[in-house]
Amino acid sequence: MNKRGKFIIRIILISVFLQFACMAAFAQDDISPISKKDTFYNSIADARIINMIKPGKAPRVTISLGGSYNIGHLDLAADDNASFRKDDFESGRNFGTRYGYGGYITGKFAIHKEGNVRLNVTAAYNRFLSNFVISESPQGKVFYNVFSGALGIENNFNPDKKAKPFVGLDLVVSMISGEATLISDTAEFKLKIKNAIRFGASVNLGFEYAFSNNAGIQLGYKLTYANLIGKESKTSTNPSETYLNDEKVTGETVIPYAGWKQFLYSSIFAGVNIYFGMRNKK
Amino acid sequence: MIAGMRKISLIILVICAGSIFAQREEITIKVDTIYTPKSTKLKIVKVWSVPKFILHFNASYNSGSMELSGHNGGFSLADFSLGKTFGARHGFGANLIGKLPLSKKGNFWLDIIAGFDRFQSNLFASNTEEGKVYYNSFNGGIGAEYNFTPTHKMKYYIGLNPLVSVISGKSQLTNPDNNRIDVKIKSSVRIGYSAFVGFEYAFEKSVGLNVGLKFTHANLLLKKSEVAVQESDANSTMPLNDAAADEIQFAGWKQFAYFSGSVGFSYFFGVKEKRYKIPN
Repeated sequence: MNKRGKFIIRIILISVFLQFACMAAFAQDDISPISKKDTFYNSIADARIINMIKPGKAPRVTISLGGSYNIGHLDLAADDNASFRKDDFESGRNFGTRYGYGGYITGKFAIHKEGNVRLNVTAAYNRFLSNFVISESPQGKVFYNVFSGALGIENNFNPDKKAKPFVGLDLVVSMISGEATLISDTAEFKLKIKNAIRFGASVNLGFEYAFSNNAGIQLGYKLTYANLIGKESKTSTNPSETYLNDEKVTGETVIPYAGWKQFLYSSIFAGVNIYFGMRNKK
Repeated sequence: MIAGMRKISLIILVICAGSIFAQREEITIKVDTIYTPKSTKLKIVKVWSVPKFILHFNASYNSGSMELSGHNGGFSLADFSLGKTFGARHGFGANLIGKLPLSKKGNFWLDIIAGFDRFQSNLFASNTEEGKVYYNSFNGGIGAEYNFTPTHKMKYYIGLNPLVSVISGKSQLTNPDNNRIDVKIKSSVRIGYSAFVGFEYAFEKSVGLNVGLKFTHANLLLKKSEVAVQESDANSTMPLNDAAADEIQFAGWKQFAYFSGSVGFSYFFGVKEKRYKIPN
């Protein structure tokens, strides 16, 4: 190695040394303010303040049981001008319904001692009807039954207090079936919508209020996209039956009742909670 | 011999003298009087006061509901002409909200709201073969909000407000023979409401992040339909045409309803940090 090479290596080594030296200095700078104790205070804490810092105990398990009112979006927001339209349904332009209702049971399992992060397991049933909230159409009606299971995660912001706001995300598997009644001038035609399995997701936001260490209520909002994955359109061999037919149909192919349709809905939910292993704070 | 004895005596004397000095040193050692103070733990908690005013800004994605949701993701000329839907489906918007506490505890708040929302048939959808439409909604209202945790970092709220909206827009309709007709939707005043839920996270005393969900039904009251005024062969003007009227083109019983998911920033004014000593 020539002199120039050695010189360069020395410069590099010195630079590396200085780098480490500076890092150490910065680390000390960071630590130094911590050693100073700021003992200033405005007043002695009263009972209310003391209660605020007194730790409670988050529930280990919460069972939620409730019902929901559902409003459809996108292609589940059909029934234009508040009336079921047979042509739109037959041409696969929408699902033919707009409003629905449902029920659910959710188990919330705290995954650590603090209890704010929870694993949620949900079983739910929702039903959408073209003649729910709005009056029945002379062109017919349709309903859907949605049985779903969900696995998700939730963050509860105050798990050891009476008011417990939360936000969560679930992965949802839905089994959707239904039946349509299509009325023409001469006849009434019943069409069965066969079971279809779809995968989706939901986000929810709400709050729980615990009356005691064992019981409370909850209220919230949830947006569910039930057929995010698994859309499919195909022709049934039986003319009085059809599949959910929510996939886009391209080219010359004609599939009855098929179209690019999103099974998306909002739910306003309310229910009761049963808590296990909770010591509630005021 | 005697000289030897003297030397020995002298050595003994020196040794004895040394031991005498040693005894003196022991006497001069003082008792350890260093005072070690008894340590006490001081517990201090910081508590934020209720803000005197909150300025809340957010931007939102809007998803149309009811007749504000076109089908299969595209604009339909027939649906729009028959007044079955507004023709649009997705939108975006922004809100500026001033919040004033109505009580010392800060649970009830008065909200003063100003917002803008825009819906387009060709937002997230590229199907413009039959035309396109957009709507601009300038809206405002005064509402009430309940905040569950006004002194916490995470401030969780739910609320409701009446809403006055001025809705206008424009549609470009492409007929099957490729002729284009422009229909201007003149400003129409409608009264409705918004219901909302959300939270504000104060990452420091005066600034925070907000996340919320809102349902708006903008044209609950004052629905109206009128025949479009033709200004030229390719241009006409009409109001929002949201009241049921079978005989009027573009008119139908339509709800201007939508859900919004929003994120934004909140500024908290007049928050004081009080420090309390916890008694031992």
